[in-house]
Amino acid sequence: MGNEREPTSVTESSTSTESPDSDSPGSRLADDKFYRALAARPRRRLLAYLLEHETATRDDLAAVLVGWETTDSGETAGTDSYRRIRTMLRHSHLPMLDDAGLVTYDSTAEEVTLRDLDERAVEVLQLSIATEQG
Amino acid sequence: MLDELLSDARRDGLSVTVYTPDLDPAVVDQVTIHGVAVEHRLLPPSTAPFVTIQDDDGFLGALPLADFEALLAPPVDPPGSRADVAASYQSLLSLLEDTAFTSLDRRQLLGTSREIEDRAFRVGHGTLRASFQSLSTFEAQTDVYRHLAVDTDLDIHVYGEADWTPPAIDGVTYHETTEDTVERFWVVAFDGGSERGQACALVARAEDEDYTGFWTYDPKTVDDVLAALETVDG
Repeated sequence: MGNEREPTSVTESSTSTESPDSDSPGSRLADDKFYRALAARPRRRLLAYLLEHETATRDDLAAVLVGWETTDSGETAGTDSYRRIRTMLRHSHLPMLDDAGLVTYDSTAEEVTLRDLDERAVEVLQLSIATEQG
Repeated sequence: MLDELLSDARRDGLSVTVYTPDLDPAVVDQVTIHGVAVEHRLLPPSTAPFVTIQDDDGFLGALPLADFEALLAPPVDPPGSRADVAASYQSLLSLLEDTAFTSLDRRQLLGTSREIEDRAFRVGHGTLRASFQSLSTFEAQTDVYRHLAVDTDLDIHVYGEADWTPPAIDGVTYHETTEDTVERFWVVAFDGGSERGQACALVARAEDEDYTGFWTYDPKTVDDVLAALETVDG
């Protein structure tokens, strides 16, 4: 607790980050976390949105997902849907995508940034979005 | 008094974000006519476009772009034939109610007026007040209002500058206006009769080339609109 701010621990943390090998975009294709991360439509949609924009705030992503949902239902969505999705993003979707190494979620700044994706993963994402439209 | 209601309805900081899979400037131009700040953001290819609406406090609502376009140019149908679209249309309207828009055109105001007249027709009783700026403008609406008056127990009051002599219709009372402030306004207000939840009103002020106005389903605001017309002499 108390020694977190000591210079030695800062130096250590810079050398103890995950090794590039286990974290390369391609290696994620063998990771169960990757498939679990893609196993929900809202998460695929927000990844596809980030492919266009790279970075977005949690508020932006909530607005995008709510708007996108209205094109499924054909119905107008209000603040209730927005609050529900915003909560889901924070407590479920974004930590899961972060954990799978697909995005970086800064929960203080509420900013989400896409990480490098394997091109085959990008193809699967794009295909899943294009297929949604039937 | 109508001026005050209009300035109360002005919600600063309202903005619209249009999401489409391509950056077609025509889409944004179409939304811009409402005089609201519009942003355009790109969606992945082959996705359906939608619109989000927000103000300074954050998200207000979202809807498919096609529905938003319908809101910008409401269909103008005779009263009674709108039941099929009423539900979705209602939710669109309620998203933006009590908010004053600039640059409204006659077609949009006619669509909203029809919506209100249609409600009054379905309820079938209560008070409906409508200001037409000048009574000659009412001429084209005579058949609609005859239908409204004859087939219901509505108490209808029509206001306007006396530049035309309207036909006598049972249930319709004409009020010739002389006050400059009222003559600039296009108003349709229905008190809902015994069904307060059906109360609704449209208030729009003629500007140089178009209108600034709002609609409301808030019974208290509707009362204020009705009272503003009631105090007009005639």
